Amino acid sequence: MQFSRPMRLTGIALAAACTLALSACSGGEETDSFQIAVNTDGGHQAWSDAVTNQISNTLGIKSTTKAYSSFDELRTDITERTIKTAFRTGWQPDYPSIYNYLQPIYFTNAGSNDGDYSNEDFDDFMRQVSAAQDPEDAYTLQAQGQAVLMQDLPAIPLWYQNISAVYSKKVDNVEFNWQNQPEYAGITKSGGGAILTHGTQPQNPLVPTATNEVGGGNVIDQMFEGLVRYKADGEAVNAVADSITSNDNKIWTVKIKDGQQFSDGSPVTANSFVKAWNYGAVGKNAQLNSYFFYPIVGFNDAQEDKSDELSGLKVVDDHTFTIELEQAEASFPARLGYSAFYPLPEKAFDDLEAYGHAPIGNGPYKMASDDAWEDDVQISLVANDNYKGDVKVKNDGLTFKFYTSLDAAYTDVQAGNLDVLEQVPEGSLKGFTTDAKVNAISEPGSVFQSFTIPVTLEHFGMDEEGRLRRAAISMAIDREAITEKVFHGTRTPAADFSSPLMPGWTDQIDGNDVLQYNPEKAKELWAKANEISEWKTGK
Amino acid sequence: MWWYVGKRILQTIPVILGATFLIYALVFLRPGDPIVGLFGDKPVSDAVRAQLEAQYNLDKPFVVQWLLFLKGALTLDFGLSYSGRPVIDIIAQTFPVTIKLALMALVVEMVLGVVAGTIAGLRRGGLFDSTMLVTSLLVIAVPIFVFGFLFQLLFGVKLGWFPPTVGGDASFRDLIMPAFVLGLVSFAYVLRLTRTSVIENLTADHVRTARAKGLGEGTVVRRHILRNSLIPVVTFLGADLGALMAGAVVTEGIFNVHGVGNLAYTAILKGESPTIVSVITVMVLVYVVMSLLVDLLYAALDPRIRYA
Repeated sequence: MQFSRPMRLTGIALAAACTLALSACSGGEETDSFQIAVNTDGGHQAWSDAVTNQISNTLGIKSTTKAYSSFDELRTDITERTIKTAFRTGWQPDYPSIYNYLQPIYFTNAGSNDGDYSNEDFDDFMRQVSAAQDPEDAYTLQAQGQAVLMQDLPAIPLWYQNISAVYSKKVDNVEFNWQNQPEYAGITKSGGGAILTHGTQPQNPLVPTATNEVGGGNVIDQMFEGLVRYKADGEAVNAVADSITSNDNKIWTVKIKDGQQFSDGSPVTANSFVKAWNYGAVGKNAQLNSYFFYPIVGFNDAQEDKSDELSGLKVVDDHTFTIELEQAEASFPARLGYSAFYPLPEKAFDDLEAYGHAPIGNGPYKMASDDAWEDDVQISLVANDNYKGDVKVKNDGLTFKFYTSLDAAYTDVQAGNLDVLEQVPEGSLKGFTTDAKVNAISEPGSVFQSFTIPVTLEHFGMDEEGRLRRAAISMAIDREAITEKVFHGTRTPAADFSSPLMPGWTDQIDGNDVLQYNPEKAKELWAKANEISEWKTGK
Repeated sequence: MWWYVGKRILQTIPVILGATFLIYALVFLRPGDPIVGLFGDKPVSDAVRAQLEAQYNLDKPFVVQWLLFLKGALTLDFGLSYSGRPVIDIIAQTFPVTIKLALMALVVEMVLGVVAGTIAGLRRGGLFDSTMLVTSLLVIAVPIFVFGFLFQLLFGVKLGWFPPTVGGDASFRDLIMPAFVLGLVSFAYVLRLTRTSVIENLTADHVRTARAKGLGEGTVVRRHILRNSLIPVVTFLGADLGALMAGAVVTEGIFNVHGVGNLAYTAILKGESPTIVSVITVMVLVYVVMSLLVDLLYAALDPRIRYA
């Protein structure tokens, strides 16, 4: 759902090193080389070097990391399609469904299909998933769709990122949910007092449609509740919605529970949702999450400022509204727990800028005061007495203390000055589980890491040669070794294109033996591809 | 003298114009589109992208961007950061913290450096001198983050003498350890500079004369050796305050100080030109003011220097 760009102290040194690497990599026009592009400010160089080394050693070809010093530089090259190499892809789902790992990335012309992959069989399976009424049917179809991907390998799956977290000796009942987020409300603290948790200064106003990064997202998720809510295991249950029903999976009728309130006592009505979504979808409002409204009729007109609202949303009465979709989707309600779909109170629209600094929500927590967000210091939340939902707050409040480096936060947990750190810094991955000063959590998470090989890349098109080469590359990578040596066991080798945390996940995907390290087979396939078209290895 | 000060202040105008122009050009030449970065790994909406680029003037040529920045800066409007906060607010929040940290570091390096350097210089070749030379060599050779993490672990976590990180409020006590670490490298330079200078002055003519007049040793050291020896040290310290502020990135990161170094570092990574340029403008001002102060201090230290 959200992305993070952890700051690293070594960033500047790495940035300098990568300029050198770039010039070193671009030499040698005569030989083909296989490069993986990563951004070094996110600390991706170590694994990328390991992966390209293995490819190089197994296949006897030139393979290196192409380092970008900043995330946006890499992202721009990908978005503009000016990238001429394979590139890192990390994915965290917006809502708990394998479908959300597949459709947005591999469906023909889908929003995040950065590798321009297109396969009619796969698209068909996705359409069927979207229409399937029974979740079990959807699971089977998703597995079949993944089997197609295993044949084509539009991206090479690497590993699932584990949740690596620490918490102080003062707190208990720290559990993580499917989106790698602590279930803050359930954390208890001996001796009372607010839970002090790691945070970063939000990069956007705290308006749900404006916030797409963890610093603001973690706060917003505690302060709002959507029509549906996700349980820790990813099951979607009705929250503010009393019912979300449809006869044709195209026009959905939403009924809102009676008596729902925002923390200031104003009622949560159909309008609270419709107005917030309209605002989020309109292009001139420049909301970073506007994309999430694409399934709704009228999205394009709203984006292009031809309309101030989504024509697919209709308020019936105070407690009822309808949503018309462009395409039928049986599992549409499961999307509605994502933060972009949270409601806004009427008064938010008086002055959204001011609202964004002291938001009023309908979630289990609320701002401790109007100036509870102290820039660069912290945000303090307390339990919201007007909250009528199912989440029980078991602590005296929640304070997000802002850090600029994870290392400093880790030190503070060790010293007892911070209670919860949801992401252990790279430098402490080795040995944090045996650190006597902290409690550690290491368990599977929902972030899926891969690298995409664009179909436009020479030698890697979606033809026989390309498929052989993709499979060879995949089998040349010893994922076990890298997850152990580079990540100290904090990653789990991938068996599919999603995450073990998702409902309906299985490692029984046809053809996923292509993800196993198999140097002999890799060499064999690579040689076969060379018979079709030569790979110039130079001297 | 006031004429001299006025002239120097007027000189800062082209300096600032040049510096901001250069920074704008560099940020403009930096590859990548910062607005695309805002979307993370999620799809980029073309409409929103165009809207944001227009909002931050990123769709205009960089000379126009620069002129618009200057226009705003004249009225103290430095624009908005990509998070929508006025840059002037961010500067108002971060600069005091860094100035506090840099001044504390300056005091640390000045007091320790000058005292140790003077003693070492007066007792050249002695045990204290040798120890100080080895210590300063070590401090210069070892990267600052090693000391940072070491002190943090030892005095912050293990012994608990100081808070291991600083956080939002940055009190005097919180900043002692970071200031010490930050001042450490410069301490070594101040020590060596003072020592060399003192040794030179020990054999100077006016010192011999002072001794010949029968002045006490304390007076000779304070009035005739130290005062003259301090000129290069003051030059160094003046320039160093600017360097301490700009160079605090590593220290601020380790100790979670929400200061200018951190701000500049993240802004550069994000390609946030309004913030980068504003921060650097303020830093240039600090440099200019500091070097002016240093030049004025010369006159106080050395009676031969007069400004007209």
